[in-house]
Amino acid sequence: MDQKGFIRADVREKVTGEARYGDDLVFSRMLYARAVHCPHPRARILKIDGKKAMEIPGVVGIYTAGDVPGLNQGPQDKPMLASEIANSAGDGVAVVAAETQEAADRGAALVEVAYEPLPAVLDPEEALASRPPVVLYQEDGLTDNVACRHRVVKGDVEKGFREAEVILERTYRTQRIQHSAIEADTAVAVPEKDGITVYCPCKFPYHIKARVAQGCGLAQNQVRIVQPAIGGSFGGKDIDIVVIAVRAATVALRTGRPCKMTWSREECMQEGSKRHPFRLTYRVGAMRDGRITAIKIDGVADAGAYRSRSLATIWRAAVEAAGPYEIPNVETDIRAAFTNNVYSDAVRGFGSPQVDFASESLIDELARELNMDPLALRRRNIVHEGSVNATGQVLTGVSIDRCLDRLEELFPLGEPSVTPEGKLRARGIACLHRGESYGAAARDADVAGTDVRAFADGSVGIYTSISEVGQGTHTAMAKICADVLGLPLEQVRVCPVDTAFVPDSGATAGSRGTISGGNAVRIAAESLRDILRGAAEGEEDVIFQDGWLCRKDGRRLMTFREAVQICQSRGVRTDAAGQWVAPRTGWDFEKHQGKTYYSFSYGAAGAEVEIDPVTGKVEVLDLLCLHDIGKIVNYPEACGQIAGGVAMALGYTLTEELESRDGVLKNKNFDTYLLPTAMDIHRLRAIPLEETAAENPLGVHGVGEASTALVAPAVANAIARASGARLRTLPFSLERVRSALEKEER
Amino acid sequence: MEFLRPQALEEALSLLAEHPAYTILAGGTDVVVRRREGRLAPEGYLDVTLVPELREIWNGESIFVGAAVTCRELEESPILAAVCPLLAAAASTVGSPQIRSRATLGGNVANASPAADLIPALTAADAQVVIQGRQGTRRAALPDLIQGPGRCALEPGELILGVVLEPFRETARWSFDKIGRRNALAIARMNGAVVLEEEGGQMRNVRLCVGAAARRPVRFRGAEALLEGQNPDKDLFRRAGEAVSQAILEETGMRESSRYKLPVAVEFTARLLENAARRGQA
Repeated sequence: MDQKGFIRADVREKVTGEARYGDDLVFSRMLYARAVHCPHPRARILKIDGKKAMEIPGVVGIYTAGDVPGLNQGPQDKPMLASEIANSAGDGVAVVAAETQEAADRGAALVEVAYEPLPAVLDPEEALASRPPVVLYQEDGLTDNVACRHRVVKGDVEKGFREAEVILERTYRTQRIQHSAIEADTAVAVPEKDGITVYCPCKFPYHIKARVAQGCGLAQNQVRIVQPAIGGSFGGKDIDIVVIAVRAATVALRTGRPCKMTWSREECMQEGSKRHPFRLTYRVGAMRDGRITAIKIDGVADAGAYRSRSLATIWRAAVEAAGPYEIPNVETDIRAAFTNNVYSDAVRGFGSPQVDFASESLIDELARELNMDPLALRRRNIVHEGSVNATGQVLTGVSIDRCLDRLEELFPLGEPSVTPEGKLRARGIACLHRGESYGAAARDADVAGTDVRAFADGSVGIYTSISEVGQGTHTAMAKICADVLGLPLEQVRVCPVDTAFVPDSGATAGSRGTISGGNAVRIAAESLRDILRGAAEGEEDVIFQDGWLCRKDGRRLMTFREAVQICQSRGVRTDAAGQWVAPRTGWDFEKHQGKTYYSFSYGAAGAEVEIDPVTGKVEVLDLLCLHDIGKIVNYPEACGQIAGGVAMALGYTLTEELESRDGVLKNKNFDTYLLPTAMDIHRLRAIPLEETAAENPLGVHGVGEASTALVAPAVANAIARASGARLRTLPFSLERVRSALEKEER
Repeated sequence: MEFLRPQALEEALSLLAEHPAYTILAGGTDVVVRRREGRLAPEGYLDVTLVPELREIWNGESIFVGAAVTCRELEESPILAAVCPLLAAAASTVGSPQIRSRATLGGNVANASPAADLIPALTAADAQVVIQGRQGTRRAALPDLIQGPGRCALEPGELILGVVLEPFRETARWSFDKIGRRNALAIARMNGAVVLEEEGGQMRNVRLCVGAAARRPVRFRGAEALLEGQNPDKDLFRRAGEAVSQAILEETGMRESSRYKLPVAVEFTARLLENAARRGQA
């Protein structure tokens, strides 16, 4: 395995500050926009009076829902601007455009909106009650607040529980968190002669394009999306960007001038999408020898006020909720509720961190109940090659057994101990299976287009809409292409993402960037290679290496550049299109069974904690996270991806939480929303493995998200082993830990 | 909005006399945040960080630490390391390296946050704040100066010049501790400092201050009295902790945070005292 890897193409400009992000862009005659936000969780908008705002020098206009040129709001979707009723606090109700950002800010503060506060429903359980206090979308014909519901049914759980010698029932709760990309969401809309160009960071350019076209009342061929450098996504920058882009575009189309809208950090926090909070109740039955006979899972997630990607998130949660175990009888039922909280959407992990916290905590609780070693109990139940999982899918490419072997070797559980200062130490573990890419319930076809073009000077450009959000995917794609064409990496470049030129590669989501984008670029590069072989007429078995076309024995025939020039002189195009079409999946919505994902990836993690029983402070002294990613394209980048996910998950585990009072978020900035700092991470070992090649031509698994799912349960299990106290609610704050320890003492 | 940046003490004082309503800026780690949140909109700012007299630490009969000395400088001062390591230790727990390079001693005092990290250390070190007003200088003990959250009893036109404190004696034993939700950039959930002298195995002149527990950091005289003249002892430390916890309850009443803070204060105080006593043995 080449552990040295190679340097990312975009790293220098980002480290030196030369990279240009969306908010760095300035256009001639550009306007600046600021939104006015609703302060109530649910309110009727009676009147919007912009008279005072218009008196501010530099303010050029105030725009409301009625000014949005196209569709302002699809059924249960986040509106571009709230029109009659705002369904959550923070919803934008108007946009002020001005010559300067300062004038726009002052104007926004002076827009007078008359609201009639309406009863709101903030608790998802209450929202799903048989008689909810509020049904959010009655006018759409909805009779309840169920945003979506997914079930998985296998065997007969009642029978499984009758057989069981031990039954446990436990409830776990996860909190609302956010992406926290350092780059705040932003868009610059520039009106064109016949359409609009929007410069914005995003993870799914063609989705933004379609939605901006819809919001602006334009055809999709009139909308162009250009990506500047992107300062992080973490699953975000999708629907939030749609909203911002359409607001900026509304101003641009109404005024004929470019318009920039950049959210302040406070706006990102108040209006931006969040990770779904979950309540998960597990009932598990097992034999004394550890064999699990049945598992029944009932879950409720808070979708917030709008639909977003709740469907895919809840579906993934339902599919993965029973864990990487072969259990004969499974019943999972997870519902997401519409509430008047800020809306939930995809956040790196997409449902996995929530259910993995619950299921992997549960396994340790069961191990304790059975007086079994946590690792042994896992080994007793994990899936193997050919196992049938909870959804009835026969599994291939299973490597969780080897992940656990490596974990045991590198991170033996050992015994709990007490330090001379009285601090409690122990290790805990967790493991996972994770479905790759969109899965069967997605509305988007799982395909990725990518073009590869060779130029007359021998350089090669890749055209893709897989987005470089900081994960190094563009450099990985260049490497894959360079390997096929036998070129040095420097000769291949991924061109800027601009929907005027790049094909639709789908979302950079579901950890699919390298799988889908990488395989698409490989297909395209292979086609291009076949075209260029034509330059060496009469030669058979031409191979491409070191920038040359060679005979099989290595004798050089011509340079890559010459081959391109020969083809071009003959009128042959030197470009090729690649289309990766993911293997078929399918879901039976009546039987609640199916082939959910075309492949699963596996991983395992260990955490060593030290708990201060006086303060309740938990230090995670050592974190080891290993993920089988099949084939590693760039080793240091794979390590970086895992380490980043682990750090993000540590915040989820210990400190991050968006708290609200009466439906209004209390955290307004990073002084009260506590991300982990470098000082909170002691030892972190990120280990990508090449155990089993994934079932795609490149053999790669995704690595973006799995690493966000294991820290919370591993830490919870370590805390329980160290202290006996079981924490079932995230995050493990000082107060929660201390209170759990007090209960344990009693 | 006017922004003034005097380069000498005389100039600073006359500008302040001219503009008593201006907000004094001494690093800005609190003021700038408040301004951004719209909670502060003065007519002008008087930035005192270029005034040389306020940037000094000197060791004469007493130690003087200037108001515009940054936390970073406190942390790294060889003088403080020798004569008041407690203050350096407290400064090292403030914010992050970037914050510590801007935040100042005078700013931390004037901001009067109940969770300020320097105030308990200064209080336990029995520091006197030196304040220059129109009529000359005065000195004030911190518990007299800090009257409540954000309430530092400075008259208009008054400027904190710095603090004076006595160098620790050979027999001094001290400790500082802080509970934060994370290991940097953390507002204290609780902090505390203790200084005592060990004479013939007995504790004397105990000065104990716990912060982020009441409306302002104060000395806990009841607990101090329990310890005075006694031998270091685990049970005694716990009783002192209970006295602190009781005093906090009496001052704050039951609050949302009391469920956590009252029991923690007992053990946190006990540990603070144990650490001070242990430092003596080393």
